[in-house]
Amino acid sequence: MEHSNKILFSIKNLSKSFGTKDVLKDVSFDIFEGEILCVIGRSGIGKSVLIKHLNGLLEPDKGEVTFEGRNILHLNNKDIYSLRKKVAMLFQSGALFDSMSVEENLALPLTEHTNLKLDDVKKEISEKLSLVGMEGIEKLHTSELSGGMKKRVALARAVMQAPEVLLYDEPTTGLDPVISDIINDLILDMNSKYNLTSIVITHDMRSVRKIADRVIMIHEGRIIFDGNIQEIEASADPVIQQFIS
Amino acid sequence: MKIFEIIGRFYITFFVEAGKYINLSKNTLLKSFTVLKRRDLFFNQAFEVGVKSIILIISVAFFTGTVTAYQTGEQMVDLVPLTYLGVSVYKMMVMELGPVLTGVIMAGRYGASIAAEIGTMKVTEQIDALKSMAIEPIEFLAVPRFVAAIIMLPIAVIFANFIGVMGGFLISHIFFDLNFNEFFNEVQNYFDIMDVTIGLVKTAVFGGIISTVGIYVGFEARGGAEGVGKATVKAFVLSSVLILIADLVIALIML
Ligand SMILES: Nc1ncnc2c1ncn2[C@@H]1O[C@H](COP(=O)(O)OP(=O)(O)O)[C@@H](O)[C@H]1O
Ligand SMILES: [Mg+2]
Repeated sequence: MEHSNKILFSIKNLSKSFGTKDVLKDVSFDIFEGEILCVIGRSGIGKSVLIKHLNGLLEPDKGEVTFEGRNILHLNNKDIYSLRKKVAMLFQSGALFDSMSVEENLALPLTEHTNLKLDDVKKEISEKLSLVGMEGIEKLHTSELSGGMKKRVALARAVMQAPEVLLYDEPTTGLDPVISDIINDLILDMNSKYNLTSIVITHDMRSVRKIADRVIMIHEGRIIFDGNIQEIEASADPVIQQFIS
Repeated sequence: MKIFEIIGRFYITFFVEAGKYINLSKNTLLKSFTVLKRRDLFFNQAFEVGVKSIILIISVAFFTGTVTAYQTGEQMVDLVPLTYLGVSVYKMMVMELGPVLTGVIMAGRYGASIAAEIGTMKVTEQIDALKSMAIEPIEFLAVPRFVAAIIMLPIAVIFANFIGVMGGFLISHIFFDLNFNEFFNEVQNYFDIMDVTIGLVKTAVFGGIISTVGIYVGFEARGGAEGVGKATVKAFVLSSVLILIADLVIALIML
């Protein structure tokens, strides 16, 4: 995959602690428009914390995150909400609203932010569901879905508002290899079909090998690798070697 | 040394939490008008408070009314004419027992369920998901619950008061041989619209406490299902205590 040289996100000297626990220490990197960036690292290392800085769900203690040249921390409420319409997120557990049906979950972004008529909303929903290979399940309740189905419905929900960026938090964790491959294909599909920029957090190397344009590895709060898949395979660093093999 | 440190830390935590709670309540109150944009969410909650809980509320009111009438009657026999029994049951019910008992029961029924629901959403990242979709959780989750509680709780209390007083009359009729007129005559003479109003305003305040505490505790929930369980208990205990404190404060203001 090709990407432009246009910087979309710029993370500069980002530090974040919770209580006495320093999760991220002075992390800096850029994210380019159009790329699929995989962020890898052991469980509990701060990958989710990092990604949640990209749509303002968390605020840095030190340093800054800019999106399209503007510091996210300085955005007012209205601007942060318009950023979030551009930067969608797929959560680790899917985070579907469990008091609602599939249809209601998918309808929500549209009923909240547009004046579309009910028929058009329904059309959008069935379109997005077939995009993720889940057509016809509108009336199911979220509790009736398997893990893989939840992820796919959540992905459909994330693209309801035609975002420019998609943040994926461990999209394949806990799924069997077949479903994982389906999800990987979807990530590739979405990225090319909609000219998205995708940031994928994962510790699944199979998935990284399949989708990544670029890989960043986090260890003990810092970035210890930033490069492409060939480079990481060739790395002699024992921490990296242990993780990828 | 250690003891001061513990006390100090307790007070800091207390004020930090109180500050966050007040801030959340203020934001919820200021954004109340947004309920007009999402009427269906409001109606769901109003149904939850007003309809699904009404049997519980009026059952408690009925037994409270009967016990109050019986106990008060026993005290009054030979001291005060029993024709005053009706008005004392009525006043206690309308000004104190109806609002406070309904408040405490709904703290358990509605407040705890808000905490459980929002707490579950918090620990399963559904709140983050709302935000990530550019939906404001205060508007979407807090406001409908808050508005439903402050509107529906007073309405429920009107029913509770009526059933409570009727229960009181029933007992007075059975045990003290009062007929309808003997029981209700003085109620009519001493009827004061202010009593009813104060009782209902108080109930609305309790509704505000129940909903905002449930919402706050839910938003602050951490640590999976266990955290949600703790939040539920915390919501009930905290809002019950706050209801009793508010009751006292309102009584002192009204003096
Ligand atoms: N809101 C929070 N409050 C306190 N600690 C947190 C919070 N979010 C994350 N953490 C802590 O930060 C660390 C990194 O978490 P996370 O980013 O979820 O790891 P992962 O790399 O598995 O996604 C963990 O130790 C976690 O307990
Ligand atoms: Mg994570």
